[in-house]
Amino acid sequence: MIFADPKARLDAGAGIVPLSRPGVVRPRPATERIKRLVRFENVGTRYSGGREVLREVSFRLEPGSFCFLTGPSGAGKTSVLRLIFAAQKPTSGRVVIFDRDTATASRETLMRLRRRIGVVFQDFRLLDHLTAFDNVALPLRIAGGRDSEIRTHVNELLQWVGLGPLVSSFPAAFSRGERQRLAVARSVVSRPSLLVADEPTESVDHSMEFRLMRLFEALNELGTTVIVATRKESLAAQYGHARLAIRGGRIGDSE
Amino acid sequence: MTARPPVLPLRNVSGNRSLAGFIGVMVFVGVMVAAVFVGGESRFDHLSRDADGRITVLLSPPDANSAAATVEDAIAILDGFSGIARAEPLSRAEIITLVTPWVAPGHDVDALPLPNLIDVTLAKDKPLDLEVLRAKLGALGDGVQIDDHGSWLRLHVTSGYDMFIAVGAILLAAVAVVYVVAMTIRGSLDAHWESIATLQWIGASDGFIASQFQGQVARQGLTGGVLGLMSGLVCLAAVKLVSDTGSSTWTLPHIDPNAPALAAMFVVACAIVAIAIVAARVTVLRALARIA
Repeated sequence: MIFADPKARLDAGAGIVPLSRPGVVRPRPATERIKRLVRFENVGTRYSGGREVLREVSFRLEPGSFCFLTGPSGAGKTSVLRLIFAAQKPTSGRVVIFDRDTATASRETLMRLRRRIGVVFQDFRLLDHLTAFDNVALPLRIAGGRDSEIRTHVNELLQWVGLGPLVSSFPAAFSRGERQRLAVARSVVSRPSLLVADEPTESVDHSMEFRLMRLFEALNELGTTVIVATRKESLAAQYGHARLAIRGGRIGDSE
Repeated sequence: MTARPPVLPLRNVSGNRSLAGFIGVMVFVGVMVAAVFVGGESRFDHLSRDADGRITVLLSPPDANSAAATVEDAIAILDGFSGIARAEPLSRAEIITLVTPWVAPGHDVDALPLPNLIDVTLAKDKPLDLEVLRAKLGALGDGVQIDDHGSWLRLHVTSGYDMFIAVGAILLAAVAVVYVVAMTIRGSLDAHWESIATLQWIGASDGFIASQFQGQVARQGLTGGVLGLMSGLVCLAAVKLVSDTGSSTWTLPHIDPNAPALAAMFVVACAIVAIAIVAARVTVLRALARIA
């Protein structure tokens, strides 16, 4: 079903229909019980030049939780997120995702884990030679989804984030806010078990910020664990979810 | 329904546009070599085949009267000689026919002092003592010679290497395809490095990434393969046409476009395209494994 007026449906409390449909994303076996969805144990990282980015970072995320990772620019938020989707390995300590230590997991295992993680990159990382549709469809194609299902899900999601009329346009022609929405759509289209969002509302207006946050909350209600990194303390305060504050590469106050 | 666009396009990278053309040229070379090897038979082959198992006795007597006597004497010796199945003198007209292609146009062949020739067929099951025969025929006079076609047969033995030459040429074409495809893929990987990292971070396996390049090389390879094969068939038809009309020089190969020759051409074309596809996949997988 296509949302003719996404805002009206959202305000009326409509669910994320496209994302809740079975089919493209295989339902996880009921017997699977993830004990440690995300667990950092005394994690430290350094740049190749030797500068320390994270120091003795320890925390864990329970399955189904929603968490903000807050802190100023350069505090280490992006590094934490990169460790979560195994774009880098810790120089000390242990990062465990879906009960797997990312430092010792095989290449194939990491690929499989990443398919369960949706990522909103701070710099979006859209493929400019692909249309909006094809960018959003990528995770489903990687997962081996059928064309008909991909078409339905992607079109509905693009409508949801307000990019319906731009489905065949290329991201290079998009505004920063539109690119951000496109990046968010790509990250959630496969209804991941874990959503990692790096400043997902930085370039959008308040109305779209609300819509995107509602999208994340709806996903969370459907079982997705969400971690949102943001510089905006106000955003974290507004939604009242758990908060991890990071400063100078160390986890500070948490609520 | 529209086809899926390539996630990592090859065509934006310098040099990729000519990939289909290059594969086409290599397929053309390969199929022509296969056609010549399987269906080809040069006039030299005809001569060699005719010469095999035969000798020719040349009699160059000083005058016509003694010539007739010498041919008869020679036939008498040959008929009773061990290892010889049959000895038959060639008529003057047959000799002129044989000599004519070797004489420059405008010369009167009939006026030339031609030797008498005896065509000798050797027995397959009995060895021939050529030295004894040479001595016996030599006793008839100075003008008697035996041509055992040794030079032709030696050349024929040399031509047995043509299989190795053909296989070598096809292998060389395949190696060139592998090299160019590998270079193209490496260039594409460099050009799309950021996109590849993004794909990996959203869960794309090495196989998925490799399939993006592999599919495009397959399309370009098939295009080149069809072009190369069609060009080969056209060239084959042209060679046959020229050969059949007899307007060619004797070195132009006679290629028979029979079923084995056509099958060999098809197999070679398919093999070169398949090699290009496999080379693309292996190159991507090796590159990704190296940076893992």
